[in-house]
Amino acid sequence: MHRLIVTSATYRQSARVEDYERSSEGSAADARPTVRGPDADPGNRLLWHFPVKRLEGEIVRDAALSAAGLLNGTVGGPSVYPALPAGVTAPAGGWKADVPPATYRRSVYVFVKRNAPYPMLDAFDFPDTHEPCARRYQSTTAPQALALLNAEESQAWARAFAQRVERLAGPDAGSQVEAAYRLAYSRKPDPWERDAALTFLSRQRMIVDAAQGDPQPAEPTPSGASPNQVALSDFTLMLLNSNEFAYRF
Amino acid sequence: MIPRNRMAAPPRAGGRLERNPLPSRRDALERAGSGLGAVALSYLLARNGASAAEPSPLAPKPSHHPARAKSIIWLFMEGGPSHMDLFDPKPLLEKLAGQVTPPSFNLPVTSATGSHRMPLVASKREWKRHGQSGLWVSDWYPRIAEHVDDLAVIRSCWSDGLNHVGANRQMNTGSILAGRPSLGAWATYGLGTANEEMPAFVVLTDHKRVRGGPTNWGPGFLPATYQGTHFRSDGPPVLNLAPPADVTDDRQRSRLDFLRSINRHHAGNWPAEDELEARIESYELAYRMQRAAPEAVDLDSESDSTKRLYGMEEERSARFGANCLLARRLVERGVRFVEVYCGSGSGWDAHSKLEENHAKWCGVSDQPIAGLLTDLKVRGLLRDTLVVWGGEFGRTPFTDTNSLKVAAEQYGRDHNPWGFTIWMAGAGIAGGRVIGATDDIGFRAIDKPYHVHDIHATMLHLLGLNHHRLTYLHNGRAERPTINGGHLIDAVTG
Repeated sequence: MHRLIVTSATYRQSARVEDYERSSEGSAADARPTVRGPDADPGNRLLWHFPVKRLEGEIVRDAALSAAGLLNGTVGGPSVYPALPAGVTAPAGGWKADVPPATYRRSVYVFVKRNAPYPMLDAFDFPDTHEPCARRYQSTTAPQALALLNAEESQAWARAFAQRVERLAGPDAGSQVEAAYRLAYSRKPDPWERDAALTFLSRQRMIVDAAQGDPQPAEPTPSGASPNQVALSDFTLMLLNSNEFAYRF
Repeated sequence: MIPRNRMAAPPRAGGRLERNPLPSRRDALERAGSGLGAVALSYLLARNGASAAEPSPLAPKPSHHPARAKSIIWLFMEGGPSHMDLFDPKPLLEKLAGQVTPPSFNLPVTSATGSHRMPLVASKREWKRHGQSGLWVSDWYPRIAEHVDDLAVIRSCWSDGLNHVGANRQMNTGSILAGRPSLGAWATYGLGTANEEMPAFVVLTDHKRVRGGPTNWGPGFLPATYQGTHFRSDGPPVLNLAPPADVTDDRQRSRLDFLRSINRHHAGNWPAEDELEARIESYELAYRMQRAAPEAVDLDSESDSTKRLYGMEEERSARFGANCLLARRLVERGVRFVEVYCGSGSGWDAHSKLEENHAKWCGVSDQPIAGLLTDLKVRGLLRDTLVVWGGEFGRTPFTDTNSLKVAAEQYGRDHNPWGFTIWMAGAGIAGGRVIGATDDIGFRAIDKPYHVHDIHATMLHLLGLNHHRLTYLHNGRAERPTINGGHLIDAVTG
């Protein structure tokens, strides 16, 4: 059944509406009357293009762990308990936090406490645990942005992602950008993106330098990372936060 | 997906269509390098004196007519509170108790659980008249009863949803089917935000997940940026408001500028996907919330007497009380639409043991709601805040099949969309009044029946929006919040 679905023409369509426009414009010789998809079925009820959809929370987390090179692919066995963020009280019955690499297992292995869904997944529309879920709903909210931007977990993913990029690409910023794009998006950056990324890296280095040179430094960067490394992990964090990373196209 | 506004109807005098805030696909293509995120920023800069090329989709918009309410606090008693045990006394039920409903009351083909042939049950409550107006309130709501002179009690509401998911959805979106925008989304679309540092539409829950989930506060076919934001129900309402300690504001802003630029660059390939623009907006809002939200949601800054007023010192009402207090703090800061669920996840759904169930949820909600009304009044906020109390439906005068086998004191009541009570207060509404009526057993709304669309039309009217003129072109049709219905409840708006 799954094979039938994923190998079907419908499933393999492009999500880009423009791809269909272009092909119909290109076949000007074709005299058949054509109906434009956006006119005939703007809501895509008949699936004339692949629906653009945000990844479910579990997949956002798994994809981030994977890009960071942290994903622990162990199959089966008992669930894991990643640490709860500050301010969230442990549910009744306790929540004994595991440590990496156990906590880097796929999200299906994160223990589901019925009355206290894991906050990172909860932010991304984790379904109600009290009743069957016929269909998942999706929202797009500021608390989701805050979770991916500020949570301790996402900082750890970004740092590991940056270290992986450094290992693969060495110290050259251009190679680092290429490697990070390949790991996050499975493609090369276009020239504009490459340029924007390099500008960002040097700007972050300057900001971190300035903050550390401050007579009263705000707070030391974690684990004695250099300004270059901090800038690189800011860059990888933003890739993990980007729309291209969080959506299925 | 939908290049919606390409199809937008020509501007109409005084209409809404010409103010449709999202770009056409062509606009979006042309603007691929600037995008709405930048527009949002330029709107903020404009507020600080710089120039703005175009308004953000959330920029404040003029109302259709002078608004009487700046904000709405909707107290949603989820599961269906029993109107005939709270605000709508039915003495005839005492006489008919134990009998099946006489045919003259025009029973439906069936009720939710098929209980319509079950015996009628009288209310076991003590009833008293309250206030100068002498409105009836049962002994389950003694504190709210002290406010009857401010309440317009609408006893003749009706809806179409027989069960919770559909009924919740209709009460929130006008339709029992998923896919339509919620009322809060319409209000945000129509008026924009009054505080760019907070979401314009916030949803607070206190128990389990709301039946039907985020479709109850979703954007439907409106641009995704107008959807409600659900705060967490346990612990801090919003997590992760502070960046890690070593991240200075400069550094965070610089990160977000970069993120916005790559998202915008990417969105240029996807001009028809409003969700991508909504996500760009959500990061800008997240950044602004880092500054404003920690203070807005900090209930510790409130005095002990205020907390007591909201019932926060009693265990049973602590959580819902905290949400009511949070709702006041949010409207005080310009949040347009706050929906506060009591018993989220069908808490009030008393198919059996109604006495036990309603005693519990009335205990949860009585002091917090009374405290909210008092507090809003004292602070002068009640004048321009509309408070709405109600569920997705009421309950039947007959008992429920689920409880036939158990003792009479463990009776329950079935879902009743044919007749139920909501009340409204604030926004200059004349209180101390009963509007409409159900029949003598509280089953059907018979005098001045008001449908959900009428309730929605009235709420929007008080916000300054005309439900006929608040339209959005979708699939070739100028859709409005009240679908093809909606009449103002004159006694409220007049």
